Amino acid sequence: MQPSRLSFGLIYGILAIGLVFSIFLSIGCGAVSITYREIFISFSRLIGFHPAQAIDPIHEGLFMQIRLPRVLLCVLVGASLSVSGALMQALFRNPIVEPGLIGTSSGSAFGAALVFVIGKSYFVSLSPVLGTLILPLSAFIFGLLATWIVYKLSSVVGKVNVATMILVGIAINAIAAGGTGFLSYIARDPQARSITFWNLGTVSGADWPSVLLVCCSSVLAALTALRYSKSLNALLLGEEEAAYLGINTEQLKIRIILINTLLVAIATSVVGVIGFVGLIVPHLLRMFRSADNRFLIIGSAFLGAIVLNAADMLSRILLAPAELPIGIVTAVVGAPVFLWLLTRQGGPGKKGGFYA
Amino acid sequence: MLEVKNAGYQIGEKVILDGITTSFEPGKLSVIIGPNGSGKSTLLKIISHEITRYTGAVFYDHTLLKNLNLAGLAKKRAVLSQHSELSFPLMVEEVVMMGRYPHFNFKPAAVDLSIVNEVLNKMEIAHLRHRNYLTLSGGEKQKTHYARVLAQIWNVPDKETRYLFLDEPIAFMDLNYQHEFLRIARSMADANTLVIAVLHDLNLALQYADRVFAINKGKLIAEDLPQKVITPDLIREMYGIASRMIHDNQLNFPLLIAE
Repeated sequence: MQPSRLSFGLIYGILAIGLVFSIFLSIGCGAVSITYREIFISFSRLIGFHPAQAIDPIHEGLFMQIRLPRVLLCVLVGASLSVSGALMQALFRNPIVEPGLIGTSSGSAFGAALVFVIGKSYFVSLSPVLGTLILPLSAFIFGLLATWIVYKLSSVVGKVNVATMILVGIAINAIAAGGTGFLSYIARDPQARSITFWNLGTVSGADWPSVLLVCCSSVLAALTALRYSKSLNALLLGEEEAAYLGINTEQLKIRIILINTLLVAIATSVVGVIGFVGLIVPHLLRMFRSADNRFLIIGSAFLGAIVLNAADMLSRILLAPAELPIGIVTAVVGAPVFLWLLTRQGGPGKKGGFYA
Repeated sequence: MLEVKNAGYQIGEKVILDGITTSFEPGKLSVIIGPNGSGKSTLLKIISHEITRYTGAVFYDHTLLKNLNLAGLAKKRAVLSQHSELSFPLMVEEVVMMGRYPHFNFKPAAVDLSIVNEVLNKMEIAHLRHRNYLTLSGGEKQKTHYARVLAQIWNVPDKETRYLFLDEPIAFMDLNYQHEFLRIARSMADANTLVIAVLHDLNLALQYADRVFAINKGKLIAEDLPQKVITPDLIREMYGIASRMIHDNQLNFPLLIAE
């Protein structure tokens, strides 16, 4: 497929409008629907204006305490996972990589489950500040460990062997899943239930502190990632060639893995395991326009946010008034889309590569 | 001026290169020849700082290579490899722009854009600039990388030497591309670039090289003008086959054929 020639700026503009639109749509829909008029008024109150019209205080509370944090969390997590997918695909020089395949998500999940079972309250009793941060911290450490092992074992003499990578990823995912399974087995009932739920991915527990946490980590990580977009482009040529262009490839790889783990682990510690978003979003952008990593990072942040918002709306609508875990929606929708992409492109084995 | 002093390299017990001492000059097209596994590509990798665990020393204009930083080196030294593994959809001009990466931080400056234009024209691939790299033929892909490498060292500050290393760049190219690549290497050398190429085709070396360096079993066994190095005796020593030279009045260089 010949990529489109639309300018990057125009594409960002369209995506930004799409994002605003999806935020409004998503805030409005759910078991109780909030009208756009109410959303506008609540927003203007939020930023300090005091319009004359009064609105239902219950609706405003719903907006402030439930819908808005939830939608913002979706935006941040969707952006994080997609940017992470873009980074990992560039690092592994392979378009079918995503945090779920290479251990980051399952490692983080294990780290978080560990904290659930040992009991967050135990850590909080030790030190209140450390106690609140222990969940994301533990997720980060185990996510990093898992990613690092997969990367190390699948790169033989500096080259990542994709077949090995997928197999190592399967093994590491199995170990992490086994560990998480064991933890939920020994856990007391309410803990086990929360692990199970959260393994399926859920944003229904969104509150302002978690939004703030994910906001800090994802904005920091994504901005740092942008600084490396040029180096990541050069890395697409291969490590030797990147070094000839003056890039310290060892340092770059370590930094990218750290940034990626920050993006995925913090998100995972808050919302659980959400797959396929990170795989498909950068993929679509690359097919549509270009593999330039600057474009992919910015574009993935926007498109990932839109996609996860849409998935969240689906998860609220499909079984209304009950809710589906969002991870189920992304898997059920994402996996077939990925298969479709694979077959439509003639598969990765096709001469000239995946995107020719 | 590029000097190699007593360079050696081994992997485990196996000695790949041993006691190489020589120098290369700007404005000359230097060609390294030798059988497969002789260590010629290894020598180029040591010179280009891809291999760093060697013994001995390499000097770029009297500065020790190990003291040069990677980013600074990339502004004046470019390397074209046999093939690149790029398998993502980028436009040809985006790939060529990568050659300018060492020269700008976030956004390419006007000079970077105009250099990309110049090299696209020089390589005669300006009409491909918006094409998806992955849809190009093998020859066009290699031309794209050649353009990228030229863009990298297109303008260096006055009096600084620029270095262009070609590691068997034409291994899988057809006749037309082979000669085109060497003509461009020749023209870069004429513009005072220090050009070192590893080549397998001895007749191309005879036709284009200013100086030939013969490497066999990890040792530098001869270096001189092409016609003085490439002789039936040396061919027998390096490749173990009989050969003779053919002289043609119309050509100012001899040809080598195997018997």
